[in-house]
Amino acid sequence: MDSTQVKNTNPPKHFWLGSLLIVGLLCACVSQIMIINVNNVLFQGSSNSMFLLSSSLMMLLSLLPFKITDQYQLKFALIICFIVAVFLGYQYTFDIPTSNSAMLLPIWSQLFFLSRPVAVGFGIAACVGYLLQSRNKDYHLDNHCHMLSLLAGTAFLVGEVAGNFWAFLGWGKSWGWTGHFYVSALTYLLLVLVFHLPKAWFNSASRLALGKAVLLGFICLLILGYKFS
Amino acid sequence: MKTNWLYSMRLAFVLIASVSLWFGVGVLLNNYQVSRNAFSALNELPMAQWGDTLINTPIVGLWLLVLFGLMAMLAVNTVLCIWRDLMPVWRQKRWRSPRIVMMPIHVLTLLVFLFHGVDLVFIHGHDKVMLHEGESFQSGQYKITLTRINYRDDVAYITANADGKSKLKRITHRDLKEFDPRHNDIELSVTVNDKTYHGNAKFMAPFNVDNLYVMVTDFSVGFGEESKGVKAQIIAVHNPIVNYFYICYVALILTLLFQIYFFWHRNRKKGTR
Repeated sequence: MDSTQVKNTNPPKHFWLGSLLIVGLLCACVSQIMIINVNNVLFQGSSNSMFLLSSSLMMLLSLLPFKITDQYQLKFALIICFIVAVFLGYQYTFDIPTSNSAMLLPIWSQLFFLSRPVAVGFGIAACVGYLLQSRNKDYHLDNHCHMLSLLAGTAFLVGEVAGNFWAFLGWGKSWGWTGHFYVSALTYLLLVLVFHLPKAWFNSASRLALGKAVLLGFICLLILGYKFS
Repeated sequence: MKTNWLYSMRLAFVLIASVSLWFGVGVLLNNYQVSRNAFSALNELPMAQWGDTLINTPIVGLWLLVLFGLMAMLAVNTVLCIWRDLMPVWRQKRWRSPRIVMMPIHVLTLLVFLFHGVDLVFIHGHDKVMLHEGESFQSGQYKITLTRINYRDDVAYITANADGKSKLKRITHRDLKEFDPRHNDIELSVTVNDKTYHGNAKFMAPFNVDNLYVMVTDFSVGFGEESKGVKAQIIAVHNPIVNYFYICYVALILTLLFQIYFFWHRNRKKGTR
């Protein structure tokens, strides 16, 4: 049994403050998603606001199954909350989307649009966790980050398959030689690369964690840059 | 001579990173009009007919050659990795090992690659026509007749001006008030081997007979052709592998979800990976 499991008898200092912050931000995200969609005929899955809100929601949800047992893990949760707060703040700079585009009708297109922010949300959470581990190894957090990376990759793949099916139903081609396809393939392969970092090239677990953090950070910046450029 | 490096994680890392980088080069190439036109041409043709396009734009040809080379090496590395590293876990029946799901994930990924390859070599390409009611065309052994167009939105929006353009944007960017795919459809009849099939197709809801998929991708009224009424843009695609392709993708997603559950369950019980 590792040391982190032994010391989980008392919640860490400021634990309740952290929990309150998570619940508060979760409520803010859900209410803003409802405000955006309640007056729209179609779910605004492709908008910038929904991208930021969905990413924030996933970052917060990634904290829910995670047991905070020490100050170090609380730090992880607070950094995630800070990033969510920044995303929420940025989201308010956009007008409330009101698109009635025919593109938003099929569930496949909605799945495609939502998969990117979901992957970014899990990816950022995993990146922060790995960054913290590059300074202090925590097995509980390491496992959690591994699962979040897997979730990010799977979410991205689900979106790719949904988009692929959407394209086939609409235009008879599941993919094509286009810039969008290259960026998608590039991003998915980078997500696959997270699980293929050779341990032999890193002389310690903390260096490996740092390598994964850098890669995940780059992937998230790539997706965000492509969306908001 | 030692051949461990052929199925090593290090080679896999180098190859995946190289393919990613090469796709990045593809994004840069796509910024140039000449390359973009060449890529658009490749989208419309099966691989056997790529020759002229690639001779006229050698940079695109070189990019594709390197991409296929890297993909082939990655496929070999994956096959060897499955054979040497992942299959023993199954042979030794280590059902509780975290590596147990790795083999199906890698096999399914290879199959998806394979289907992409088959699609590229044999299937890419389609028949695209604009038809008025009553007109027909031949696609392979299938005779497709457009029997009726049920267009219920305002035709003024889709009527072309002298420049051949209508007031509407691309079909995916149209407002539902201008164009609602749910209540505009076409009625078709498809004849093959003396058998005739009747059905409807809407935008995003193709009509399917055997391996033939008939899609309607746009409605319009030509300039000065108001008397002829609305015409529909129709695409006919012959794709016998599409179902297997998606079965592989869904199976891959399910194995990944199982892997996530496996780790989650194990972590809860043991606290470590």
